[in-house]
Amino acid sequence: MNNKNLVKNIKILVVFFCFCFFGIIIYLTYFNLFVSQKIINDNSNPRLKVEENKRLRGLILDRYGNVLVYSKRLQNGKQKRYYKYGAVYAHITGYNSVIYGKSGIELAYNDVLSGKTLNYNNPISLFKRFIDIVMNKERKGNNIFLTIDDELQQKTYNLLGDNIGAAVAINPKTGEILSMVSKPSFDPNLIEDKFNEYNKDSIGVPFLNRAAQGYYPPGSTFKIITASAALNYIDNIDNNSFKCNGRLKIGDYILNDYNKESHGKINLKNAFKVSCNYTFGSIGTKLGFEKLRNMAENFMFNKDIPLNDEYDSINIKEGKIKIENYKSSALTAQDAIGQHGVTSNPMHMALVAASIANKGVMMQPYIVKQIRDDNNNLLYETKPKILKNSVDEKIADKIKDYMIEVVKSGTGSNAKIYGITFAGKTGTAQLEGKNETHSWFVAFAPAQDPQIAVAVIVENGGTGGSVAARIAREMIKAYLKK
Amino acid sequence: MKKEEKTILKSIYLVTLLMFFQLSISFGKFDFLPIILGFSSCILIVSSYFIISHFFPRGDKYLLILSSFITQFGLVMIYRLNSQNPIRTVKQISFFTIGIAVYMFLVIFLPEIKKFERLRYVYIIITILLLSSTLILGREIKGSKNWIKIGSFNMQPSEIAKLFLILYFASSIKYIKNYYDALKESIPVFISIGLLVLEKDLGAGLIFFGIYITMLYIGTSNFKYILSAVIIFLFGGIASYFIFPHVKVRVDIWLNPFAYKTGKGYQICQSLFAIAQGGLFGTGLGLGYPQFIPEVHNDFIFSAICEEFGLLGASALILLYILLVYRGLRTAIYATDDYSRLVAVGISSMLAFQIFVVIGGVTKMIPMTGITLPFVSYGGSSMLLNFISLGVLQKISESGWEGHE
Repeated sequence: MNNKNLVKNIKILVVFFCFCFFGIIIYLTYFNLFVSQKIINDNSNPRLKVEENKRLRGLILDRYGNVLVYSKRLQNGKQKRYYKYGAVYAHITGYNSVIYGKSGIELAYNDVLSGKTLNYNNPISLFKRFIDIVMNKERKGNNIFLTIDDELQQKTYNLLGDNIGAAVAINPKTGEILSMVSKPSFDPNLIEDKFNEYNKDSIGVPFLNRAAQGYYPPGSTFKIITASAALNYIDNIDNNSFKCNGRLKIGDYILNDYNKESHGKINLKNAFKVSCNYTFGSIGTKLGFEKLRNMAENFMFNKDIPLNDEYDSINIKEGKIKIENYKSSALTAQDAIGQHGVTSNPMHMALVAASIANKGVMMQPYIVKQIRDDNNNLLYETKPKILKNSVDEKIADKIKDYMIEVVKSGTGSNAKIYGITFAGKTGTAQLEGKNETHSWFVAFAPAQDPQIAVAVIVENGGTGGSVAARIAREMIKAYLKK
Repeated sequence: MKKEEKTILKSIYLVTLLMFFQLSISFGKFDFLPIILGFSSCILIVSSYFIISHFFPRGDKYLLILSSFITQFGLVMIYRLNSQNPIRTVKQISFFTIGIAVYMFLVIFLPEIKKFERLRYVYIIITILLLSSTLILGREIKGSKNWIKIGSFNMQPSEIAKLFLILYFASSIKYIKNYYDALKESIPVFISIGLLVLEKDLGAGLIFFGIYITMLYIGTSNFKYILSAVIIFLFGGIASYFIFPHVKVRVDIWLNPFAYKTGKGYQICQSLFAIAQGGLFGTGLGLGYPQFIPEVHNDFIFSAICEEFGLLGASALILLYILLVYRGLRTAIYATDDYSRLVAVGISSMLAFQIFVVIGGVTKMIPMTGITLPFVSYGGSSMLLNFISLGVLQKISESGWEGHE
């Protein structure tokens, strides 16, 4: 053995070990910089629950300050969440469970409710917080004021009754969501006991928010868009007339009218009023798919609709319009009457109605109006924002007139309210290979100065003029009565 | 030289007492026990340093200074993790005392290390006997069958076997003249590693291999041997991944711990949360939640240090370990004979690999293998072995200075 070699080797070893150990330090630095933020909010981190329990979770209130959800300390120092109206607000507030996690507002606004966020720079609020810490007072989370009108929400929930379906009401001028109900619902108070039961229900699917996450063909309510496209792209269309024989023949395909009724000689306005499939089918073939799709995209089809809020608490499913073959007139005609490749949900269709009501301007929807701290200092307020200029004001006004006619003397006459000019459109969504039809109704009122826009769907509810129209009428009546 | 040591020692007393003082006030009430513990550790360090520096002034005093400072981190952390029931801390400080005593005993009574060279077959027989004893007498604790029980005392024979393996291999290396010799002398080492894998003690297996390959390289300077050893090891590793389910599980958890976060990967995930919570400065002693990690006082104590002392504190601890390993290797350089030199290299690399494997394991840098962090983790047998190794190093350093003068 060579002595010098040995010593040289040992020196190399010193360098090697230094390399290994500094490697650990570098790895730890990397971990702290890039990995730790990603993993620290994992729900299996028990620190989150301990931190959360330090402060009493904030309230959720409606737009007028009625308390909907609150927390209370129990004897053992833990806190319990109480949902005052149980299932009525389930799809809005979501649930808050130690075992099953969180959803809805409880999830999206968790940091706000648990008082973790201090990045709202209200100096008075920061000062009060500081005093609370010094005085060792129990700290509380921030309170969230929704845009929801409690009375309307309760009414909507009761109106839907035992039907499977959903209803949404929006303020067309601001985009505030006034009510949102999906049935069947679940009770967030009982989530710990009933989670599995809710989860297993494959027919009702109570965890599904049909109002925003539903996936329905909009049926004839889509004629609002087809009519807008016709007025936009085809000159002088409102003075032309069509000759409806109840059966539109396109190649081998035959598009039937409801009950194969023939409407005879008919203009656009009357065709809209009686929801004539012949007319709208032929308008569709005349327009071609691309123009129809352009107009639909102006109404936010094929597009993601983010909420105007600080955080997204409702995930609105993208409305879709598509076709397998651009050239196929038969399929375009079906798309034009809201069947085949067209799908949407009540939230989206309420926005469509709202943008007609708001002179063709679609406002971005939102559900959180304000965030206030526990001393009622304002921390955050959502400002209304334009989402899309859907159509010209002139066209919107024309469509509005058509929709008034629908309620006055057309398919939606069930929705008539004495003393209020009411604009609406019925829809009857057919499902491929099924006999039952979904009942749609979209509406807004009062027509001269719209305060509320609604969309209602009742699964297997028959025609749009029946059950859905009645629910929409009662919702609007309840809201405007005040 | 002496003056420097005294200044360093003073700062060590200060840091130790500060840490224990903070512990005494950090749980809402004033507690006397940590102060007593702090003073007794300081007294222990003072007296042991006094004995070493007065009666054996030629040896390397930094080995003792560094290791007893590192031990203080462990004591503080173990008290903090079991503040309600301080029995563990009292036990650990007793192990520390016993460790220091054994260390003294070795420094005083151990004959010169080079005299041990002749007994190489005895060592390898003891190593293999120790390792196979657990197969017969062993009890399965935490999924590994590597513990045996003597009276009320659980111990891991693999800890002691490491030392005997070093003694054996240090004397074997000089017989290695060619490839055939290398293979012949390595067979007992491979048998030992095989036994460890069978007992599911993967961490110890890894360390055995690390020690073996380091000593082989230092002793022969021949890369051919190293390369073949690495190839054999890789082959064995890949084979055991497919043959033994426990090896596969460890690797799978390492690759994606969050897929197993409620089951087998729970511990490592909790450890990662603790490290993430710590950030740069840590939450502060007594203010984090390291008790959420199962077995935190044992293998995962480094994560607790990361959480409460932060990246800075953890890096400081790693630097202390680097210094300790450096002092060990420095002893090897100044040693008078090749046998002592190789033993010192073996012991230093044993410490280094153990530190690397356990810290790398709990931070998910490498797959997790359950072994203890030297001088810090709770446990009698590992504390004892670490001080025995240190005593041997001290003895070598002493004779080294003798030869130097």
